[in-house]
Amino acid sequence: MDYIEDAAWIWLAGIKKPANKTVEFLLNEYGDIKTLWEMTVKKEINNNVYNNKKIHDKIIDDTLKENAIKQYENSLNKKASITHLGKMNYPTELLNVFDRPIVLYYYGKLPDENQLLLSVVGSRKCTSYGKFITYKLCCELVERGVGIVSGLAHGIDTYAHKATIDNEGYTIAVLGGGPNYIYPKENIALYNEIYNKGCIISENPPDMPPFKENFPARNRIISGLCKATLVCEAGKSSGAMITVSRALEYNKEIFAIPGNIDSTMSEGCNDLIKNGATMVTSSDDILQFFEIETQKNKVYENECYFGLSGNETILMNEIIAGTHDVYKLIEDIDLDFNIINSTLSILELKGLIIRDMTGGISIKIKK
Amino acid sequence: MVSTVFSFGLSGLQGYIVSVETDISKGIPNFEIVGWGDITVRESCARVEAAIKNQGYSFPLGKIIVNLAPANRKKEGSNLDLALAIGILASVYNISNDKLKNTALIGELSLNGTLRPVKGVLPMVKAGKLNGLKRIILPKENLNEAKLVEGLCVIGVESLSQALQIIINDVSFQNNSNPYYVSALSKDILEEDFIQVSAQKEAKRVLEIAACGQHNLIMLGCAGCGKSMLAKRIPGIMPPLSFEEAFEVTSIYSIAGLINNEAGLFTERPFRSVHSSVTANALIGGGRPVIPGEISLANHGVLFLDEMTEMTRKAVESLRQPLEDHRINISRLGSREILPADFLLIAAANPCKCGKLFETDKKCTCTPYQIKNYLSRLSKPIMDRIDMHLTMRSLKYNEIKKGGEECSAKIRKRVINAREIQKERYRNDDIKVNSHLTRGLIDKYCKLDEKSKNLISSAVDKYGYSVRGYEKIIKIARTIADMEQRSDISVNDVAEAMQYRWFDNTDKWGI
Repeated sequence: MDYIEDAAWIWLAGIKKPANKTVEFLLNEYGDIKTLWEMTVKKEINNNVYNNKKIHDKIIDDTLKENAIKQYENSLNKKASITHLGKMNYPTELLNVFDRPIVLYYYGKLPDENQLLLSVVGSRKCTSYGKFITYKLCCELVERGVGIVSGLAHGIDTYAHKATIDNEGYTIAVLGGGPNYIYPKENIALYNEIYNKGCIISENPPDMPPFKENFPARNRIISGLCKATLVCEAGKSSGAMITVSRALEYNKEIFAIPGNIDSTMSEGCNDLIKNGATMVTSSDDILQFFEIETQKNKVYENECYFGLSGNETILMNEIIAGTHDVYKLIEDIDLDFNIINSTLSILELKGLIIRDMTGGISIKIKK
Repeated sequence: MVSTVFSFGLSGLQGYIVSVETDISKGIPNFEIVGWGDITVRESCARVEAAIKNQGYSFPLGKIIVNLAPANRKKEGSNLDLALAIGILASVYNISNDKLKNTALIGELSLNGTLRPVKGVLPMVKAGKLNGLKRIILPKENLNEAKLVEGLCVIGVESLSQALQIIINDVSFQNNSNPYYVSALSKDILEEDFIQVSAQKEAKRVLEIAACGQHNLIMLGCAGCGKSMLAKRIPGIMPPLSFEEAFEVTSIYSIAGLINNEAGLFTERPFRSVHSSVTANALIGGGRPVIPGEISLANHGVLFLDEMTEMTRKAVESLRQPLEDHRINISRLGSREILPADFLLIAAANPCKCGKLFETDKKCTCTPYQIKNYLSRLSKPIMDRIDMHLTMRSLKYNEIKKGGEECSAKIRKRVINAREIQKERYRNDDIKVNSHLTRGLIDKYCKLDEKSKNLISSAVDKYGYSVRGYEKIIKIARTIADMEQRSDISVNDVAEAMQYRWFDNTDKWGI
């Protein structure tokens, strides 16, 4: 069995999960991975060295090596790139994490050493407020050179990626299945964009479907890749909160966007703030952390709202003031229902707002 | 001697004359009916024989042949019994054909010779009038129904002998005069009135538009937000039935055997509430003889499909043709029948499995995948044919019993005005309401100004409306303009109409 570096790392990662301690031990014992591979192929390894029968059996088992080589060839066929702890391009931020993945499969371009990265997490079923604020903040951050890491899921993830793609920034999508398994299917267009302009990363080999139990592990990579994590909108017990707890274990900075105290979708965020997370009310808060010069970003406000008729201005002002709900608009504004409805249509066609079927309204940000 | 007696057959909503020819000749005693009768008609041999004997007449010994002409149409049901019996008696007692030629007989016989009511009397009597008959003898129970046709003498009898006496003595009664017809909507406040509906401004607006232009509507909202309550109140804001409409409605109920013998014409618009377990055949009609389905029973009224997402796909999709053509072709072996199905469809459904998708504080526990799955049960072709899509939210406590709501009568007045405008505009065309506009008529009556054209073209590009969806928007805009008694469609009408078709844009399903 010939030694192939990538295949050897795949083999090593598969021996035991979690693999980090075992891998560290074995590498310490044998110097480098090439020696380990060759010695185990020749069965020259001593049972006493690793005082664990199970592991010993596994490292001298040839079928595992064959599988690893197959895995490696399959990845080559699928055009997936591989990085591992022994490679220079392994993301530096992730290297410092104690339970880092040994091997990563990816498409696209891994982040540069200097690339600032922020993970953006939140609920899949977000409100129109969450969508709007995520999009807006991400747009402003991307403009200043921050890369966005998220999970390609519905809701907040989608809007975070979208903002980056729309502003031609750098974004990483970390998937729960193999890197070529697009989940959820609806995001295929977004996936293709990220494939071409950003990076799709997964710990799992290509073709592996997303299993439920892999998602918490996926979340640890999302938080591990970045210096800080931004929680946009999260309920009390959600996947986003798992990412946050991992980020805390890794000593990362946590940012949270406050929401209405009666909104169940913001309960998680508000709790985080109460417990010491940094409250984010504008992109400046995050830019300061990254030590980027802040500059009040006025581009997205007011400028595009010229030339509206009387009713349109009334409605637009109300929406900007924070009424992101058709039913509330009807209650609050002293206009007939039919006028409100027709004005909303016009505003929507002018590209200023987006109305969804649940009655939520979000402000569209014009580039 | 051959005697000829008249009775009726039914084909769809139309009755036709059946002449019952009886010939008695010497030979081995036998009683045979020819002329394509179904099993009920053939069985009437036994009923007729027993009834004649039990009424005290002698049943002739000999070879009896009865022919039902025209022989190429299938006769169904028991309404020919009386005519068969009178035919035999006329042959035996040599009653002259002069006494029979302007008379038709309808009725089912019991074994002792009394008469039982039958289905479908109204269209039969109408056919009798069209064919110039003067006198129709029928069971007493069907008399009220038959009296709805004017200019004709109808006589209700209880037994075979009574019928025979009337024919022998050539009794004639006064012709029917104009039937008494009062709308049921004359009350100030109806039992199901909009005054009882609190808040729900947007729903009321949409329902009013639906009633004005007869636009089909689907309501999506959680359990208890008032979907059924609102639907039940729609007939109350629709204009009262005209006499012709009432006649058609009553005829359909007559065929279906659902008529109440005490009441005359239907005065209220029918409201058919269909349970989600309904089968396709029960919905569109069928069977042998053809029984009108729910869509025909809802003709000129409202068909309410509750829990549309729970209905079988076959049943829902069977609505496609009637929603387009406003009638239904039922083709069965040996018959092709057309029944009217010009109804206002009101459908109701939950937006997701738990139903709470639209609620303010997002109590919905469904995953995005489940929601998408649930909504995709509403097939695109059907949603395309439903003009308006309404989302509803349940009321908060402080909205309940606010008071100061409009009553149905007030809304109805506006609806009647809007309908009058439409009737006047379409007086030379074959339609009455905006939702029935065809492509050619849209070009003729729904002229858009430059601004509206720009608006709608950018919307079509952006949201990918189908051609049908685009036409529906214009039709709804036409209705909105009619409600405000404007002859031109304004850009605001079009913009408002677009809000009622969110389902066309699948992006909006996004959670």
